[in-house]
Amino acid sequence: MYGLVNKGLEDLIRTSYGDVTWRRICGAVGLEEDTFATMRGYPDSVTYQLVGAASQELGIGASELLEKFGAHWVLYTGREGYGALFQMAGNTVEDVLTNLDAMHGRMAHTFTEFRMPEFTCTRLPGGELHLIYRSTRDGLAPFVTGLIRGLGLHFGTPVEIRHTVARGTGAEHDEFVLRVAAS
Amino acid sequence: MIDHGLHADELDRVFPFHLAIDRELRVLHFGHSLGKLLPELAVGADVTALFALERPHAALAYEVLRDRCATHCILVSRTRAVSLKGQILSRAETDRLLFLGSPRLTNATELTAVGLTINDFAVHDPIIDFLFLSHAQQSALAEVQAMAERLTEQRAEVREAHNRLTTLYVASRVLAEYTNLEVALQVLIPALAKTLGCASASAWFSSGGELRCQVAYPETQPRALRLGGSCGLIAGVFMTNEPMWLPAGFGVEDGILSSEASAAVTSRSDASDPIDPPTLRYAEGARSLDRAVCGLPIRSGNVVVGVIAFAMPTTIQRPEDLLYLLGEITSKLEHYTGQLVAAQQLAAARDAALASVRAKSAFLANVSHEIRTPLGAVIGLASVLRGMRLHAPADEVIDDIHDAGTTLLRLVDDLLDESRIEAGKVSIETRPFDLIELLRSTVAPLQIKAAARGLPLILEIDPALPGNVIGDRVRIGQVVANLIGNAVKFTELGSVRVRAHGVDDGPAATVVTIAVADTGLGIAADQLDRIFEPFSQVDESTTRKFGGAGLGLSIARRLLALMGGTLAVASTPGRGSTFTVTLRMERAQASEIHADRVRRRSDSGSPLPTSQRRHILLVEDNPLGQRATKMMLEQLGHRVDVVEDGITAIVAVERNRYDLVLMDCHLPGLDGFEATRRIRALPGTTGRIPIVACTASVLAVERQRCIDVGMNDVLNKPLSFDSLRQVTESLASRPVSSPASRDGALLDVKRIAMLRSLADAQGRQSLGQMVAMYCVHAPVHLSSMEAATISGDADALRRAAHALHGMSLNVGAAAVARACAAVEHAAVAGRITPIDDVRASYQETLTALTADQPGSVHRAN
Repeated sequence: MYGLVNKGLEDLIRTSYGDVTWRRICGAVGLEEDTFATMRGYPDSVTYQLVGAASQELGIGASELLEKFGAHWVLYTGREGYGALFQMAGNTVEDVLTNLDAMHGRMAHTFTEFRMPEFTCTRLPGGELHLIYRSTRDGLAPFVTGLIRGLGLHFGTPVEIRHTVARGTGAEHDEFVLRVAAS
Repeated sequence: MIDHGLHADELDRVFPFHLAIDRELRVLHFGHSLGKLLPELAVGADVTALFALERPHAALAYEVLRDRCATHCILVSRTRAVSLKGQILSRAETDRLLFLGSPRLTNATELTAVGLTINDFAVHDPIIDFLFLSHAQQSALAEVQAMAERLTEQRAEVREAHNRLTTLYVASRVLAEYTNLEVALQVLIPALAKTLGCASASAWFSSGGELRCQVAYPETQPRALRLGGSCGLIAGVFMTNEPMWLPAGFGVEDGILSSEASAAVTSRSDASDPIDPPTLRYAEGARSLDRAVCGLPIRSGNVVVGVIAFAMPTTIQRPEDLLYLLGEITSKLEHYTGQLVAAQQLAAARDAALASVRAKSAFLANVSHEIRTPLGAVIGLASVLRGMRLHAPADEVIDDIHDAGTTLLRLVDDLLDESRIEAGKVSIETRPFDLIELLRSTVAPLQIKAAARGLPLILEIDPALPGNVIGDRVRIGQVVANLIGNAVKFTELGSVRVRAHGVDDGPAATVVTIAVADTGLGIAADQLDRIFEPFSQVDESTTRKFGGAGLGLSIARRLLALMGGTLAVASTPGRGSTFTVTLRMERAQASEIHADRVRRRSDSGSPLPTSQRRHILLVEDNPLGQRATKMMLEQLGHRVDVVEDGITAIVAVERNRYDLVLMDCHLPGLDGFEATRRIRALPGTTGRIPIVACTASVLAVERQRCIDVGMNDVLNKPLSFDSLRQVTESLASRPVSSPASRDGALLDVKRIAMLRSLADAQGRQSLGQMVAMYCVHAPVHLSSMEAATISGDADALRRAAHALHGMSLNVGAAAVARACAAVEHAAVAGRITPIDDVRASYQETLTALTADQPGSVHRAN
């Protein structure tokens, strides 16, 4: 993963749990502080190790942590100057989710080593959104849940999320059904 | 199907910003995203009213556009801050032009500002890709800039840390090196000033309500003084080498003293602040250079006694770091002053302890001395009575008195030895002696004592043990006698065996081992170490049964240690003990040993022939001592006059002709030292009468004092028959050294005594003959030396001096030998020195030697 992801996790830990906690987590996985550069690719194992160590350090489950991370991701990238890029995708949760895949497609031009996930978002007849998430990586569905929640917070729109299909339970992808409150 | 073979919706999907225009430059149709970007756009509208042509540089005209199809085309909106970049397609058969392009955007914000989203662009359009790339690059650049800033900060922190560590290291090093605060500050302050980059620094100590500068840096340069007002400080410089001071309530220094905490203040003003000028120095101080000042308190215990202040040429960048550093230095100084106080207390405690030990030793020595004097008289009188041959029961009683007195004297001597060793006043002699003879003579009397108890005492001497060694005969004999005495004392049955052997240690030394093994009580393992402690015995029952003070082994081990040797013990309770002396000794020449034997043979000689009876003056104030000594001397056949003080002694020697004066040192009124000095000042032979000191003092300094005032020898009290016999034999006829020749005896009296005894024993060459030969040959060498001196022949001078030197040593002319050696030594180095000393000492020696021969005034034949 790109350093941006690891830096996002670092930002979550530092802002929510303090610098000392992050130092301990880095120590647990044998990393120095201030290791990551945004545009440099790192092995996925680094991110997974950090999540594992943080989960142990904070005493919370990895899924819970990933969901927090997903929500924080929207805030973090927005704060770090990626807000305008989000805005290109639209001004509503639905627009962003719908254009998320296009965004990732555009990013492939820049982040050439990025094995990007795919998102397909369609509106169901009842007005709910149906989001299909495909990834070559395992276990990141909670991150997507957090991401959606973070978008809702970002746009001030409550989102009800149902994880309807989970990868590994006979399916090769995850599916979510979202009820987005009218903004 | 319309233009270019694409359906309108297909064209719109792949080129959502396209614009189709006719020959009159009217809008034919346009993409939906372009319509979103420019809502005023409508079919039939005049393109020239909506756009200007930025590229190519030409007026917007159909022909221009048609002919520049291959170039970039940039259309700038006349109504909005938007421009489009693309290219023109033309089809001649329709006279229509098609513009294919996208908005010209540099960042995502511009895109959202014009109301577009990512979906308004065709998938193939790279504009959005470019925006992502651009953003990523900007983000990376910002990150690099942030890292560069952090690196700069970290470098500054590292530099600061380095300075801090260097400063602390300097402080630690200086404080570790000096044990005086002011001296330490003299070194510390310049060192700290340099490390901290300070222009000047100073140490101030509180004195009488004001601060006085005790250390200033730089010392000879204009000194910086910072004056603190109520609202800050004024940095200043003044030119003076006078002592500096600050009144109470003035300066940052005083602030530190009051607050007892470090301070760092940046100057508020250079020169505009009012100067409070109690002295001219403050006016000088107005010429300010310093921009900041900082300082720290000097604590001693819990009290702040002074302040160290630093003047800095720049403002303080990181006050918190500086204060932290100052705090560290404060702690180090506090620790240092604490150590100084502790060291002083420790030294005081040590001095008190040493004084106590000295007092104890002195007390012990004094008490022993006081016991020794009357005891000596008891033993002496007992000895006299023994010689009177009374009836049998009385003889036995006298023997008991004599033996008890001797035992008691040995005990007191042990106590004296112990206190002497404790006080470091025991000196070890290094003289040649016969070790085998010593062992035999030590064992012999103890064999009699052991035999009386039915105990064999066997001496086994290894053939490899050298007889000729250099060392302290008396002390080694004392140690061996003690060990054998103990062995005999603690052995009821069996035997005591003394084994001595030697192993060569290089060409000139031998490691001597003397083992004393008994078959006595033995000592338990847990008691083995204790027995070497002073006043220690195996247990209390031992003391009750066998007596003694428990000092012998302690003294033995400590004496051996002084001689570089050891004393070890191995023991099995019920089976016996073995005490082993190990001592490295230099081997001596046989001739030296011969002289030693001769001397001692004469020491323990037979009763005095009548022809050698002397007239002796005994100067002694103690009536008991007077009586004992007088009786012993008289039993030896001498005539004795007794006086009680120094003045009477001087009168006596002036009126009578004595062969010898025995002088007690501590007399009432004029003491023995002064009396001797005055006798030596008398003219003629009276002033050269032999005087021997009698003292109970064990101090080497007192013995030296005796020699210094002109006494010929020193006898230890209590006086015994042997010691009196020796001194009357060896000194009564000896020429006297005068105070003027104190730096070296005129004659080698031992040599002369040896020559005399040789003559007596072997009947060959007499001393007189040797002196006669000396008188013939010495002037010849003296003349050769004079001739060599005049001719400047150093080699001839060396040869002649060497010859006379050897000859003089042979005959015992010590002063001549010394003078010759000096001349010879200089001549070896090529220097010709005057031979006045040789000639003068020769004349003096000649007089003395001839006077020493039969018929001289000192011989009472």
